Amino acid sequence: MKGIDQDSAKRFHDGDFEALRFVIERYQGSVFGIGLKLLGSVDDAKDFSQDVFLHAFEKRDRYDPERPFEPWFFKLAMNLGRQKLRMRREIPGSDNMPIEVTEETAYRGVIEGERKERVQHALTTLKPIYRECLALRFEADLKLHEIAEVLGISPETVKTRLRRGLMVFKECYIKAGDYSELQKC
Amino acid sequence: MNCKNAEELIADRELGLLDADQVNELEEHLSECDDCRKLVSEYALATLALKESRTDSVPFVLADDVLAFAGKHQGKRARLFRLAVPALAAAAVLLAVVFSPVFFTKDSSDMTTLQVLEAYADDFEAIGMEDGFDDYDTGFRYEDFGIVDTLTTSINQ
Repeated sequence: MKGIDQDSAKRFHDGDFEALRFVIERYQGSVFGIGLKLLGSVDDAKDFSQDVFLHAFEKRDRYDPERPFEPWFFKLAMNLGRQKLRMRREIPGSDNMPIEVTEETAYRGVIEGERKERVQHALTTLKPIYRECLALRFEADLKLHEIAEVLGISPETVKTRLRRGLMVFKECYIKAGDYSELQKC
Repeated sequence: MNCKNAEELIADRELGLLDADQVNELEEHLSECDDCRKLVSEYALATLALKESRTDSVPFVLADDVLAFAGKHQGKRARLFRLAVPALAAAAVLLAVVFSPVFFTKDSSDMTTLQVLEAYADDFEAIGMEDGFDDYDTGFRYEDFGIVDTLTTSINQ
C-alpha cells in the first residue's frame, strides 16, 4: 500500500482543504475503480467516489492521525459501497442472494477497450463479497492482511474469497472472450 | 496432488499467495498435466485483464466538485457553531438566573429572620395554649395545697 504521509493524514484530520485535495488526488483512481468494480456503472462509481471523499472528510474526527490512514479510509469506502449495494438489494455476506447482472457492464466509452468491458461484465456476475475482495486487491493494491483489516474478516477468509472470486471471474471472462487470446499468452 | 488442488494453487499463485514449497509442488504437477497447464494460461490471462483494468485516473473532475461541496458544508457547520454557541450560552445564563434562588438561599420564602422568629414564637404560643387546655386538670384545688382561696377571701374581706 503506497499510502499518504503522516503529516498529510494529520492535516486531513484537522480539516485542511489542501490535505483533502491531496487525498482525493492520491486515491481517486482507486476509489473510482472500486466503485466501478463493485457497482458496475460509471455513474454509480462517480457518485460513490464523491460520497466517499465527502463522507471521509465529514467523519475525519473519527480517524486517529497517529495510525495509518488507508485502513480507516478504505473501510469507510467499503461500508459506503455496501450501503449502496444494500439499497440495490445486493448485500455482501449473504450467500443466498441472487446474483444480479446489470445491463450496464461497459465503461460507456469512458474507459475504452473490449477487454475492460469483459472484465466489468465478468465482475458483475460475482457475488459482492468476492467482488469487494478483488476490488481491494486489484484497485487499491492492498495486501491480504490489509484487506482483512478493512473488511473485518480473517486473512484466511480473504484468501478463500480472493481465490474463489478469481476462479469464477476466470470462468466468466474466458467464456465471454475470444479464446484465441490464449495463444498470445 | 489432484487437478482440483492444482487449480487452487494456480489461482493462489496468480494472486501472489503461494510460498516457495507450494510453487515447487505445483510445478511438479504441471510438468505432468496438460489440462492444468492450459488452466495456467487462462488464469494468467484473467489476472492480467484484472490488473490492466485498474483505474489510474478518473474521467471527470472530482477534486474541485468535492472541495466546493465540502467547503459549503463546512461553512454551514461554522455558521451553525457561530450561532449555536452564543445561543446556548444565553440559555445557560437564563436558566441560572431563574433557578439561582434554589441554589443560593436556604429558604424559598422572602421573610426576614426576625419575622421567622416571631412566627415561630406565635406557633409555640399556640401550641402551648392548645396543650395547656388539653392537659388542664379540672380537679385541681388550691385548698389541696394548703392555700386558701385568698382572692375570694380578700374580695369578701
